[in-house]
Amino acid sequence: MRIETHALSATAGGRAILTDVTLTIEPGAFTGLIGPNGAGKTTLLRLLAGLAEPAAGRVTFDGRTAAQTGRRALARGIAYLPQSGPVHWPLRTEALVMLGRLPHRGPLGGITAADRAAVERALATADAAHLRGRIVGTLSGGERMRVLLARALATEAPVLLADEPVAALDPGHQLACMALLRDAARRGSGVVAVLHDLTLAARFCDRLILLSGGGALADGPPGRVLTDDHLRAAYGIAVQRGEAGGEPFLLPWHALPSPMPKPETP
Amino acid sequence: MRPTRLGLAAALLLIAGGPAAAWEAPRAKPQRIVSLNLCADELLLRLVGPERLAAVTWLARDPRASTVAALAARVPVNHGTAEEILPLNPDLIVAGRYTTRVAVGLLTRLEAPLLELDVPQSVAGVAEQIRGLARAVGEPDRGEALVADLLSRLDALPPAAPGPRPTAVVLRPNGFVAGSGSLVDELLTRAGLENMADRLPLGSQGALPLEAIILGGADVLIVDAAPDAPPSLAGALLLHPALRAMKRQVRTLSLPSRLWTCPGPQIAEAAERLAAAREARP
Amino acid sequence: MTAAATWESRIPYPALVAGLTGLALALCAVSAAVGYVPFDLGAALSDWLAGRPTLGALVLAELRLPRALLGLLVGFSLGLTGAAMQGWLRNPLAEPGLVGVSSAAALGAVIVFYSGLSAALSLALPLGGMAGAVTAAVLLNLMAARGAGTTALVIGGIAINSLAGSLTALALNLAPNPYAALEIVFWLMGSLADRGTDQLWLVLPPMLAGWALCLSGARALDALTLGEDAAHSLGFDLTGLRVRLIAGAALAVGSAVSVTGAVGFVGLVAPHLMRPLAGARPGRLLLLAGLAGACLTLAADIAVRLMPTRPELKLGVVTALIGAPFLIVLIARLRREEA
Repeated sequence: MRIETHALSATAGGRAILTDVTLTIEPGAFTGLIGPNGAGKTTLLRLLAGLAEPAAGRVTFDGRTAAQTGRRALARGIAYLPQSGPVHWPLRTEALVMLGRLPHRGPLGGITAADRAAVERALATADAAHLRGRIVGTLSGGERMRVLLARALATEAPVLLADEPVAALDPGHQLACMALLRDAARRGSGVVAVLHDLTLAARFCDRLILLSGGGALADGPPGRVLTDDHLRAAYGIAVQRGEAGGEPFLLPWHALPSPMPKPETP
Repeated sequence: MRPTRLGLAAALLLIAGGPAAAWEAPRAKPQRIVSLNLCADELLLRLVGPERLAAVTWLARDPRASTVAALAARVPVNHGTAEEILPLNPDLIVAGRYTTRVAVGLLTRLEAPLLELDVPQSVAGVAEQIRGLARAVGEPDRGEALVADLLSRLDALPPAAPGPRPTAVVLRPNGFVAGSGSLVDELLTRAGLENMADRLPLGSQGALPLEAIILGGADVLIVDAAPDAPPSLAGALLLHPALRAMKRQVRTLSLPSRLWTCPGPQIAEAAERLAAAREARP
Repeated sequence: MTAAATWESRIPYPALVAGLTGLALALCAVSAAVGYVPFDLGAALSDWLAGRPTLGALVLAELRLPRALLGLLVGFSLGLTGAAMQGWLRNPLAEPGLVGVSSAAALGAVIVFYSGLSAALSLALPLGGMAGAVTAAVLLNLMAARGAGTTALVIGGIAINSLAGSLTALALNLAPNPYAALEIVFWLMGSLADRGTDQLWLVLPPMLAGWALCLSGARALDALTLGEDAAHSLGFDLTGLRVRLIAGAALAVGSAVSVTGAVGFVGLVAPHLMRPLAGARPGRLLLLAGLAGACLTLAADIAVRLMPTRPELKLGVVTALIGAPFLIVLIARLRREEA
């Protein structure tokens, strides 16, 4: 599924969050959505998922609007993993991951073998199969994130939109999770993840969209987006760069006195 | 205190009670009589007529509760509070023993000319109360006439057939029944019925579940009905579908509660209707 | 938690439903057999089936059975609605009694009943209950829309409860009959005493409609476990769900309260007992909580008739005796979780 935005604007509480954003999410690429706090990353992700109405402009899915596509078709086409996804009841991992199959089930249809197989694949992919019998509330932060990721993967949607999927993970699982998302893209999915870790974003993503000042400050391969100028303008930071095994990397090194980063907003 | 509710409660509480009240010495014919009780309203309107009454209770005008509503329409009404009564400058105040207690307490302290009516539990007590009140208002002859009429109508009831008398239960709002030793009990007896309230499976005291009344197996079910009364759960019980269904199996009589709520000549009509129900086939 | 795991794996969902249904029907039969006056149930049953007009058949058909069936229906409605509201608000304290839906329904029914409207048109009584329930549910929805947590929900519930309770008292005080003020206990505590077939038939259709609406939200409630955005992204129309649940709760609780008064805590206890057996899945919980609510209500109604008090205890007294300790434990647990 191909998601396109046309001159998209979004507001929250009367304040403009995004202005005139036009971009396309293609299948088969792992896109990182980066930017300082309050830049509108989550807002953009929700618009891409069809969860919110833009203040102006429009979002299309394979050329059709959300209404034309239909709720269920959209749910089968896009898996959405919210930020620090809440789990309100003490569900068992397996039952929770099975929720990802809801878009595929009819109003009265039971769980099919295909559903079970998809859940198994998702559990295996997210390295959560051994957690299947655990109650989600008793899991560690990292285990929980993997289970929630497995839930999103279980939909087996052509597009996966994930809001800060690695925020709660230890470094080992961060690397595993980024590799997993990249592999999903290699298999043909369109993957968009909101990321804060520029090092990981630079290493794993095919494309980065840097949001700042209400729009996409830069959009392209990591090397073209993560320039010193862009990072100074967006984050107000300077970075250290290096190379390991032929791959470039960068590390946020210190905050610059000016321009001040935008104040944090919830 | 809410006079409206007290006033209505009067009508209900008067069913039960103790021995007759002590009577004060009769004065000269009082001309500005105030009644604080529905049962007093009924007797006074019959004994002295509307002209000498300064006020009766608001209930007296309600045809659902009162047998003298037409007469009461010509008399001002009160709601049982002392502040309504005193400006009327009454020369006799008639109250019920169990009702408007706050007003009665105040009037007693002010040494107002007060007469309290008890709740008679027998026909003899009713006759005594009528005579006593008649003396107090200076109309002993009219009192005697009322009593004579009442007693002659009761004596004229058709005699019961030989053999066991049909059993009866009187069902009241909230599942209460009329037990033995009450005026209703005596009226049942005089009408040739046998009150079986005391022999119900759960006895005759307190609110009874409907099944205790139905399974009691009385020959005649008398519902103390006020079908046009304001809606209440207590009254809704009397319209229960189980009782409707029971009408197909048991003689059922719906008797307006105004006919025997108060001790007065109207109880003769209640007894006549009971006697008619005794004879009727289900 | 571990015990729950073994339960869930040992008792499959269809077996749970069948077992609880069997228990509810058995309690229905016990309820019909238990009364104040001992009588030959078998003889009454055969008389009734053969159409012989005996007093026993009459008591069975017009008193015992309607009471038992109303207990079943009302209990199911309260348990189901409790589970649905908890799933919807994602809060285990959301229950028709605690959040004021029941007392608002009682207010609606009281106004209709004592004004004489229901005497003119019997359907007005459940409609009054529904109007009250829907008002409270919409108020609750407004609070929930502002992101109300447990504390806000409970405080909002107290506010709706006390407002509806005092307006009920006011309506009863203004009612022109001497019994009304005494009847407030019925409306606030609930009772199945001397309920009849007319009430049964009156509330059955709206209750069934309410159940269908609540049960139709099962999948969406499952999805809501993950929060509103995730549920939306899984293809569920949350506005539609809200409308269905509010309407379903109003139909089921409104009509239940309009004939039995507000029986408390069933909607709290039933889902709480069943949650481990449902694997905490809100969708599965619906039917189980409904059946458990029916069992609880029937058991409580049997208990009030076995106790030596007369007139019998109000049903809500017994359910509160069971439910209040649950509430205390739940609040303690929620405070731990929120801390």
